Amino acid sequence: MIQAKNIDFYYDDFHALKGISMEMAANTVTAFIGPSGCGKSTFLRLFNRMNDLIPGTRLTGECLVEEKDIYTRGVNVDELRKQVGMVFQKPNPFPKSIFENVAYGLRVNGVDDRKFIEQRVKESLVGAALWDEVKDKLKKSAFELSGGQQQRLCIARALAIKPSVLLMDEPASALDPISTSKIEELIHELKKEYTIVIVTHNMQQAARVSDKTGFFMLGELVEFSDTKKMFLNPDKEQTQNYITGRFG
Amino acid sequence: MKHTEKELTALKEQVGEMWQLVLSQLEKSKQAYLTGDIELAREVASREKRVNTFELKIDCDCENFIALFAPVAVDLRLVLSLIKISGTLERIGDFADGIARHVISDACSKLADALKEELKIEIMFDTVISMLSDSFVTLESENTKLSGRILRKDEEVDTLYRESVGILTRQIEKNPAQGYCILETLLVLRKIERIGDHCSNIVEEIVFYIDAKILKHSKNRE
Repeated sequence: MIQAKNIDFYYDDFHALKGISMEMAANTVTAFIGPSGCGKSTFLRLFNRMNDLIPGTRLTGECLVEEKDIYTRGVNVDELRKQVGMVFQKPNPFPKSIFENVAYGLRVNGVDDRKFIEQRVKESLVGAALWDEVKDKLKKSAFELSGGQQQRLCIARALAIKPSVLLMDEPASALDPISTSKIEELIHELKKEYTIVIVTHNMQQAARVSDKTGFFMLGELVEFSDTKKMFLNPDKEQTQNYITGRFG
Repeated sequence: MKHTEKELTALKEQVGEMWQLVLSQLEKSKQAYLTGDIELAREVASREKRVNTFELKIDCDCENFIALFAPVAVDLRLVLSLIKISGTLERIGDFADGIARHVISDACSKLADALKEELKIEIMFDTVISMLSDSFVTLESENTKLSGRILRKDEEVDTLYRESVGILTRQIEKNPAQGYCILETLLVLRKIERIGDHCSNIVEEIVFYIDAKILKHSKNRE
C-alpha cells in the first residue's frame, strides 16, 4: 500500500502540492488527472524520490510505501527505487541490446549469475508482453524497436528488479493507438502483481485502466474516488467541469 | 457555448420537438376517442411515422455524439437518458396511434356515455397527458421537484385502471352482447395505463440525468 499524509511540497517559494492525503491499495491502478502544472507528476515522483534531484525543493508530511516513511533519515534511495519502479513519458532505452537493457538493473545491483539473469530477462519481457516480438533478436539494439515496443522494453526493465510499485508518468502519450492499447492491456495484467500509479492527460485512458482516480488542480487534490463514480457522477463541480471539457 | 454543449443542446431540442409531437398525438387521440372523431383519429395515425422518424434520428445522433465526443459524467448521463426517453416517447406514440386506430375501426361506437363516465376515461387521459407534459417541464427546468408528483399520478392511473376492470367485468356479465365492445374498451384503458407507466420511466431517466439517482425498481421512489 502507498500512503500520502498531509503532503506539502515546494519548488523554492512555489507551493506545488497543498495538503495532499490519499491511500493507494496494493494491486490497484490509481490514475492522476488534471491540467498541466496542477502537481500530479510532482506528486507521482515523490514516491520514488525523483524530486530529490531538483534543487530547491522542500517537502512536509509523510510519504509511506509499505508503511515505511520513505523520507526519513537512513532510507536507502537505491533500495527504494528497486521497490518503486518508474516508466516515463518518452521511452528511454539505453544504447544497448534489448537483452542488456532488461538485464541492466540486475547487473548494477550486483547479480552476475548468467542463468538467473537470462531467466529474469525472459520473465520480465513476458510480463511486459514483449517476449514474442523480441525473443529472436535479443542481441539487437533497443533502438531498432518501435516506440511502443521501446516503452514496453522500459516497463520490462522496471519489472526485472521486481518492484512492488510501478509509477507511470504519461506512459502512452507519445505512442500510436495500437501501442497505447497494448500498454493499457499490460497495465490490466500487471496490476495482478504490482501497485500501479499512472499520470495521464487522456481521461478516457484513466477511465479505462484505473480503479481509482485523483483529480488535481492548482496543487490541490480536488477529488479522489472510484473511477466509475468519478466519470459518471463526480462529487465536485470542478471535477465535472474538467472531465466534461467545460474547464476554463 | 462550447462545441460539446452546442451538440448537447441540439440533441435536447430534438427530443423536445419529439415530445411536443407525441403530446399532441396523445391529446388528439383522446379527443378522437371521446368524441368518436374518425377524421382526427386518421390524422393521428398518419402522423405516427413522424414519431418513428424522430426516434431513429435521435438514436443516430446520440450514437454519433458518444462515438465522437466520448462524454462523461453529466453529459454521459444526459445522452443515455435521451436515448431511453426517445424510445419511450416512441412507445407512447404507438399507444396514441393504437387508440386512434380503435376509433377508426369504429368497433365500439355504441359504448354509452354513462359508462365512459363511470370508467373515468377522460380523467385517465388527462392524467397521463399531464404526466407527459410535467415530465417535459422537469427536463427543461432541470429541476426534479415535480418528479414525485408525476410518479404519484401514475399510481392514480393504475388505481383507475384496476377499478375499470371491475366495472367492465360487471358490464359484460349484465350485457354479454356487448362483449366485444367491452373488451375493446379494456384494451384502450390498458393502453392509457401503459402510457402512465412509460411517463414514469421517463421521469426516472430525468432523475438519473439530473441527480444521478437510480429510481428504477426502487421501493422509495419519492
